[in-house]
Order: sequence, then C-alpha cells, then structure tokens
Amino acid sequence: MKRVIFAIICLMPFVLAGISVDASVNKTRLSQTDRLEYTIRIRSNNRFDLSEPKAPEIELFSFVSTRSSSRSISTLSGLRSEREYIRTFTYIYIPLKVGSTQVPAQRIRVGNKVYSTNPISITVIKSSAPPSQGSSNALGGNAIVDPYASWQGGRMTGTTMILALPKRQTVYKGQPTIVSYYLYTDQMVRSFSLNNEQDFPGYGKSPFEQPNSLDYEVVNHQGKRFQRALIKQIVLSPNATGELRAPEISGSARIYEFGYMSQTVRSEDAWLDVLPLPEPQNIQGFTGAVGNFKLSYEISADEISLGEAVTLSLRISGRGNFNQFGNPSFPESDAQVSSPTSVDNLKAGIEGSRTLYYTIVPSEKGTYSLPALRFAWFDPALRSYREYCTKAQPIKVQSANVISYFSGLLDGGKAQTLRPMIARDMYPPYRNLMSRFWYWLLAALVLGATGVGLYFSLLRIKRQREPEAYARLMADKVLQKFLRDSKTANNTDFYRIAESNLMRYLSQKYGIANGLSTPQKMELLANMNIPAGLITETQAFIDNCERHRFSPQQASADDIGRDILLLQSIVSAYSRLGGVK
Amino acid sequence: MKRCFLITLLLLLFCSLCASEFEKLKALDEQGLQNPDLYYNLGVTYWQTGQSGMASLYFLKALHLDSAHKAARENLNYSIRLSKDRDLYPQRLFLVRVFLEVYDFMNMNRMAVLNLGLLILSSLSLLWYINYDPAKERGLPGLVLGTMLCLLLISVSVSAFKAYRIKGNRQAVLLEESAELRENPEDSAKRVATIHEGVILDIRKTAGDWLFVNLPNGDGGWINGELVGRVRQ
Repeated sequence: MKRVIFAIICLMPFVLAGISVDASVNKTRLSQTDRLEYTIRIRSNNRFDLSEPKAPEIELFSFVSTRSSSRSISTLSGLRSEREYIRTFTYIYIPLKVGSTQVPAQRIRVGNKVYSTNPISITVIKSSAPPSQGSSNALGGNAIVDPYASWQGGRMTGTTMILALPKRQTVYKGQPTIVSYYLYTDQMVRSFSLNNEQDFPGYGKSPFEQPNSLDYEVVNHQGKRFQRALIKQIVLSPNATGELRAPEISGSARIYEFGYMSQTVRSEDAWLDVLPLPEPQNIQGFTGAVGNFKLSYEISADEISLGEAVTLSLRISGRGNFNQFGNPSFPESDAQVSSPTSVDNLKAGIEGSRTLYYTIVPSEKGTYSLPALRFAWFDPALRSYREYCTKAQPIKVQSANVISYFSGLLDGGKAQTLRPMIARDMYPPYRNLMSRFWYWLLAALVLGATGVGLYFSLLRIKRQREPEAYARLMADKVLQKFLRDSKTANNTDFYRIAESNLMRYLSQKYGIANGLSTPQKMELLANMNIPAGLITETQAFIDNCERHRFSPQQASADDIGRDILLLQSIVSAYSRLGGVK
Repeated sequence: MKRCFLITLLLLLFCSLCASEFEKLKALDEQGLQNPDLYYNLGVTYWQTGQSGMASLYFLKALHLDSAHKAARENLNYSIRLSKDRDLYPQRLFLVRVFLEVYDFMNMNRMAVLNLGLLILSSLSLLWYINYDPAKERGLPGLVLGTMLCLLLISVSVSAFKAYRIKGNRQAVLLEESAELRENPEDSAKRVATIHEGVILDIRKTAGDWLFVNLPNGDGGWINGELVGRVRQ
C-alpha cells in the first residue's frame, strides 16, 4: 500500500505540472453596503481551455454578476523567455445579513484534471457610514455634475424626493420590467447628481435610459402639485419569486433657494410582486423565454449540392428577457448542424430582435428532411405558454459539381456561422498526385506514345511525298539490320542470313520481286544500269554463300571475316548508286 | 516495483481513455500527419475553445494543403469577419474574386489531372494535324493544336507557380491577444501598429527571433517570432 501511495505521490507533479489555481476576495471583513468580489485565478505556462466555473453559493450573500478576463505575460529569465497564461473569473456579491460565513472551496476542472481552492472566511458587519463616492462610481456614475455637492444647507422649506415607479407592480419570474426613478420637487432643483445605487437580491438589471438633463413636467402627487423629472430607468429581470425590492438610488440635488444649496435625496422603497411561471405542460422547446415575441424564419435554399450548407435563420423579435433564455436546440437529423450564432439588435437587452443562424450540412445526397425547429415562451399578457414551430421541409441535395464550389461567390462568402466539423473516422496522409511515381510514368507513356505516333506519321508522309527517298531509307534500315545480323551469326548461320538479307535489301531498294531466281534478279539489276562489275561481284558472293551453306565443313573464322568485309563493300557500292530510276 | 509499474500503466490508460476528441486530433497533428480535414477539424475545435488565432492558423494549414477546401475557406472568412483587424483586409473587385476562386478551386491535384489531360489532348491534336489530308486546308486542326498547346503551357505555368507558392508559403498568424509591430527588431523600437489575435501576416525577412511581416493591407513592421504561428514550419 505504501508503494502505491509513493507511486501516486511521485506521479502527481507530472499530472499537475504547470497549472495553479487560487482564489481570493477583495475584503474578508466588510459592511452591509460593501460589495464582495470573489476572484478565481488560473495560471499556466501553457495555453489551456476552460469554461467559466459556476458562481459559488455563499451564505448571507446574493450573487449579482460575474466578469472574466484572460491575459498572457512574457518574462525574460536569463536567456530564456517564459510565458504565463492567466484567466481570471470575478464574482460579485452583495451582503444580505450581518454575520460570519465561509466561501466554500471550489473545484475547477482544467482539461481532464480537477483543482481545488481554499475556503475563505468572511465577516459582514453593520454599516456605520453612508456609501462612499468611490463605490458609486463603480456602479455607473452620474450624468449630472454638481460642483457644490460638498456644501449642504439646512434652510430649505419645500419637498424634494425620488420615487421609484415600476411599470408593472406584478410580474412573472423572468419577465423584464422597467423601473423609472423620478425626482419629485416643489423647489427650484437646478441639477441632480446621482451618487449611489444599492442593489437587493432577486433580480438581474441593466440600464434602460439615463437623461443628461432635468426635463420637468407638472404632475399631481397625493393631492399636491409637483414638477418631476426622469433621473434614470432600469430594467429588472426577476430571477426569484415573491416580493422583490427595486434598487435604491441616492444622490444630491442642487437647489436654489435664496442661494444654492445641496440636499441628499434617497429613493423611496418600491416593491414588485413576482409570480412563478406556470408549469409548462406538453410544451417543447421552452428555454426560459418570457415576453411578447414574434417569430419568423428563413431557409437560404431548398436545393443544394452535397457539401454545401443550408442556413436556417430564426428571427425572434419583440420584448422579453432576451438575456436570460437559451437558444432552441436543433432536432437530431442526418446532417451536421453548427451551434447557432446569434446576432442581436437589442435595447437594454429586452427590446428588439435576435436572429439565430443554424448552419446545416447534409451528409448524403438525395432528399434531406429539414426538421421543424420549436421555440416556446411564456406570454405574460396571455398568461400562457406559446409555441412557434418552423415548417419541416425537404431539401434536395444533388451531387457536388464544379459549379457548386462557386455558389458562395455572389454573396461574397459572408457565412453567418462557423461550419461544423467534418465527420471522419480516419485521416489518411494527403498525397499530391505530382509527387507520385505513377503520375510521371503516365506522362512519360503519353509522351512516348506521341513520339512513336509522330515517327510513323512522318514515315507515312515521306512515303507518300518522296517514294524513292522512302525506299532508300527503308533499304538502309534493312541493310543495317542485315549487317548487324551477319556479324552476330555463328558459323553455320552466317551465309544463310547474309544471302537472304542481301536479297531482301536488293528487293527493297530496286523493287525486285522476291520470288525470282538469283539469275533473274541479276538480269533485272543489269537492266537497271547497275555496273556489270558490281553484279558479277554480287553473283559471286551469292554463289559463295550457297556453297558454304551446303558444304559439310564449317567455314573458318578467317573466311567469315573476309566475306563480311566483302559484303560490306558490295552493300556500300549499292548504297552509293541510289534507288530505282 | 511491479505495483508501481502497474499503477503507472493504469494511470496512463485512464488518461488515454479520458482524452477528448480534441486531444486525439492534436495527437495526430503532433505525429506529423498532414491532412486538410484534420487541420480543418482542429481549426473548428480551436475556434470553439476561444482560440481564434490557432483556429485561423489551422484553417490556413488546411488551405495550404488543399486550396479548394471550401469549408476551411468559409470558416477562415468567417473568422476574419469577426476579428478586430478585419478592416486591414482589402476589399476585392468581383472579377478579382472570381479569378481567385478559380485559382483556389484548381488545387495541385486538380492541376495535375488537368495537365495530364491537356498533354493527351495536345498529343492527339498534333497527330491529327500531321496526319491530316494534305490536300485539304489545315485550319481546323491547326487551331485545335494551337489552342491545346497554349492551354497546356498556361496550365503547366500555373502549376509551377502554385508549387512555388506552396513551397515558399510565408503566411503566419498572430496567436496572442494583441501585439505591437515595431520599426526595428527590438522591444524599444517605435511602434508601427497594434494587431490582434488571428490576423494573417506575410513574413518577408527574419533577424534572429524577430520577423519582418506585412499586414494584409501592405503595412509592414517587426514582430517577435514567438508570438506568431507559421503555416509552413
């Protein structure tokens, strides 16, 4: 057992090499008005892949938001350059109660390994002072600057207050609603400086509108005449049911009343009643969408070539919790489908349109049945779930051809999504045809065949245009062969080959029929103005050949050598004479 | 000792079983396997893990092997469209785009087949021309022969040019989030431009670890070679 533990301990450094994970907080002791920032930092000398860890649940705290960053640092260590990759995830919380708690240890998975952080103890104390200026800046700052904010007077006689007015008092969980903050006053408020915004649990928020100046309108409030100006509008998206307290904002108003003075104003409490969503029954494709939506879809083509992609774009427009619902998942089908790419045109994350692009690459030719894509949402106005379903449609998939390669040319190749991976069981090495032996062998064969064809074509042309020259050419060839054969023949064969080839040569050159006897051939040669001496010499050589052919004794090497010389001189003499006259 | 060995073996086996598809692809790549689909799939995986620089690099590697890899071309264009430096890429005229599409479509293997086909057609044209009835006008066979020879010459020239370009591919991709191009090959030199992950660079010359690169818009500057990945090692 000890050995096993020893082996595991020895292997641990290799398994964990190069990656460190640590966690920290901005404060271990904080007041109720402070924010807790819990940071997880992962460092490595190599690039690593990591998805964002889930926000830890901390007792006494409510999670507000998260942010992440990644960076790399190069350092010079001696002559070597070292690189460090750092990813940071920061989770922001607000305290709910006074007390002590602990941030639990987090388990972070990097690649196939799991790392653990240390737990951190936190103490929340009661706040003793109003929120500082610095913290308000971090929450968004103000739009209306007040240079006299530090000077406060106490001689004011009128009323100035901030009212938070939710657009709806009762909302469903996930249903975004706008809370408007108005400055109500019966005094001469020249400007307002927004200093702080305190959050409470149970919602996500985003700014909707924040005017740059105080634009007053006259209203009656509780039987009294006021003028009011919009300070800020916030979108709240409830993520818990029950009573929800709207954020509290505070700031200083610059009031003119026999001189300028400042007054700190805090918004009055505003509450919303958040109802739970009814249980979805027989509803497919619900991913948490709540709102009033209109949907439409478009398919880029109903006829494609194999290997091409068809894009299904689903457009969701209207008002709702765009930032809280997930994308509808594409049904299983016989095609490769990419994760959808969304293109948003939204105001404050609740109003506008979102277009989802699905890239679909059918895997076989024929007819591909594009399945119906479902999207369901809860409509608070109707108090029921609604469902939208694209039409199932056949897509004709033809064989790929040359033209299909250029199909994206007209739209400038502006793909809306990343094309998915190609399903492959094996990856054979890619070979260039030109680097293969058989390719060049094939090319050489083509060139060789062309050469042979050219040769015979030229011969044919020569025979047609210059028959004499052609005959001479052929005779010379025969002669060459004949001399070659004669030299290589053995004793018994030499005279037979010499005689027959000499006669073939003469037949070829002078057009004498082969069937004639030797005297007849000689007679014909004589008629062709061949010198009598040459004819006699030829006749003598042929007689000599016949004699040796039928002789019981083999010819000596000297005889053959002498006769070869004689044969060469005869043939040379004929060659010099030219062809048929 | 045997137990240690057994445990090591079991751990290795466990690690290999846990290896994801991504790691398998990376392992194949590290083995030196060259396949455009492998590079393409690696590019898609890198993109999905947020490494746009590596994704562009592998799409370019796929195109380096097979310039007609349409999916790699589309994904590279998609990656460029989303990059911070997309304005650096020149907008080409329609006819230029058509020409480049055709040029890319004719990858080296298609060029090889085309060359062979044109060689055969040229040979047949030559024989037809030579054996044509001398009593007749040789206009048509002459025209065919001339056309075939011209096409063969162009095709061979383009093949040679493509082979030269592939052999001397100087493309590289920035793998860091951002980097500075400098006037001279040193960290203290004046900054010429700031570029971002995934931008495609053309390496013109080297000086030690530094590379002089051209941006897609033609601007040039020096960059540390450790920050970029080369398409052709």
